[in-house]
Amino acid sequence: MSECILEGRGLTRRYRRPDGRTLTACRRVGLQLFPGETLGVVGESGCGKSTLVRMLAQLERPDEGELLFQGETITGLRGEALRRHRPHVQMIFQDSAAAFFPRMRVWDAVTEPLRSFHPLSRAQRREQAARLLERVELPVDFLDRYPHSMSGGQRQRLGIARALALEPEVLLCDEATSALDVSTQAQLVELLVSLQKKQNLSILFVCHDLALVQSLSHRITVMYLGTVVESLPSARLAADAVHPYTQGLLEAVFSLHTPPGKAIAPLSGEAPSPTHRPLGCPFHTRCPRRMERCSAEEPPTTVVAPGHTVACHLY
Amino acid sequence: MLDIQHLSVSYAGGVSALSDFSLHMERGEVVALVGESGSGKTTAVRTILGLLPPGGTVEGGTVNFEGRSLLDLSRREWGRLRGKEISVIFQDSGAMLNPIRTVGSQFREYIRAHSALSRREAAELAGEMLGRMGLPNPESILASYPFQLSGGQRQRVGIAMAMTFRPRLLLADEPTSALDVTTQAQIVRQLLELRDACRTAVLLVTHNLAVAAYMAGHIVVMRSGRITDQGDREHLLRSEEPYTQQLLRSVPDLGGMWDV
Repeated sequence: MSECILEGRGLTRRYRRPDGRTLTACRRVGLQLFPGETLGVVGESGCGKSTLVRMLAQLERPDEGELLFQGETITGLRGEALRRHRPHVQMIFQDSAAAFFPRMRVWDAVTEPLRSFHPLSRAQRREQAARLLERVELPVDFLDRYPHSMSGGQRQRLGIARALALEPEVLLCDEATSALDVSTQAQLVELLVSLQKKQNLSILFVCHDLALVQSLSHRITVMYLGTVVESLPSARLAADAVHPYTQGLLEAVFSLHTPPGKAIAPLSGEAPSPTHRPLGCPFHTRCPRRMERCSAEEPPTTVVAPGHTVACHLY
Repeated sequence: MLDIQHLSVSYAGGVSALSDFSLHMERGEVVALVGESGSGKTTAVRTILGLLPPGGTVEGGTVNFEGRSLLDLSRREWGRLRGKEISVIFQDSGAMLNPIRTVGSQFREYIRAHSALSRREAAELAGEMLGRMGLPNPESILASYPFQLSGGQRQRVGIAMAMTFRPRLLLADEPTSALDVTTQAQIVRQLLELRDACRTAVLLVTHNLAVAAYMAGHIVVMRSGRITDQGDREHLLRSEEPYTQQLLRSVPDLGGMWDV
């Protein structure tokens, strides 16, 4: 595969809580994003996926670890250098209603990022805005509307238009479709997939819905309690996933084709709090296949097949 | 047991929320109402419970439960029915709990409002119900405030309360939508186990077609206040109704949908 466009190595982020405890949101997370591919990141609430996205978007600095863009380190970028880097990596958010300033009209909102980088006249910006709306398949007569007068799906398209304004190489999507109805969600994913094909966009798609992530990603990374437990090609997920947590997630996904009488055997219990990370493997408290060493030693990440890594003592 | 015929409901300003809605349920049956936002599924549940928001009016039709109409009950009659014979769980049970009282004091109050049990007996029953929901340490849950519990724990508390009096009808409005997938699977299983144990009929409202297909024997598809399609899972999977097909195509399924 070609050169990696965005890479995180050993990204760790801790928060100091008011009660003095330390919350480890991400711990030594490594991931690579290649040009033109979609990397899906799945995990349940509190697994650190949003913190990871915020670090990749440089909205947050890792406490440890390194961030690379096209092979060059960008971890320490500050001030003007960081500002110049920002157009390369853009982001869309889950709550499109909160992501737009309510008193800015559509044309102004989608071209706002341009103001920081290109001196354009009002007429030029309106022209750009019309082009952006077209790219996300919104009618041009939306230019003078306000975001709140649009539906959730339309507003999320607006979010994509604004993220594309600076022609980024990387688009980060944090639960971007989770608040939408299923048919709206499907249309939005279709748009992302077609945009990616037209412009060789790299997409990091973070979502709790394993089936959705699987249906649009090339590769999948599974997170649990702030660490990556398994990464593998999306097409091999159902057949080849070996980590007990990934298997537990797969077991818990309902499909239209799940036979109604089928016994479901979900993972028991809940994930521990990230302020009380267990020693050893983070998953050992719920793991159906735990061994003695799992509670003492943290499993290293091993390669089990080309493009397939897992952090588990069984492999 | 529950029989709804040609029900129509409108909100202030004459906005029609439900038109010509009919539904029939027997004991122990699970029926799912599926549809997207604005399809009228929550209005249907609220009408059955007699809890339409201000401005909501029943324009026509009948709602009968065990042979009596639910459309003209007095407050007192509702008080005897709701929470005992018909109970409900919401998307986030935490929102129905008082944030500044412990779970235990609210659970006991609920039990004692509907029975003649003593304080101690009520506490025992509450603990027993939580245990049945697979909560490992019922005493500590009862001593907790709602905010100290996880979303999955709060939802289990809500279901435990709703099932305490073995209701004939349980209305479950998006009971698993706010939960993580592994918790969702646990709750789906527990709901079905309780249904078997208590022979409670469950009206499941959800936008998740896959969960509906797994749990329900009969699935009703709604759009803009109307029933557009209904039948068992096999019927829906083979349905030629365009909206049903559109919904089915939109449900992500392992194995992939998009040519990426």
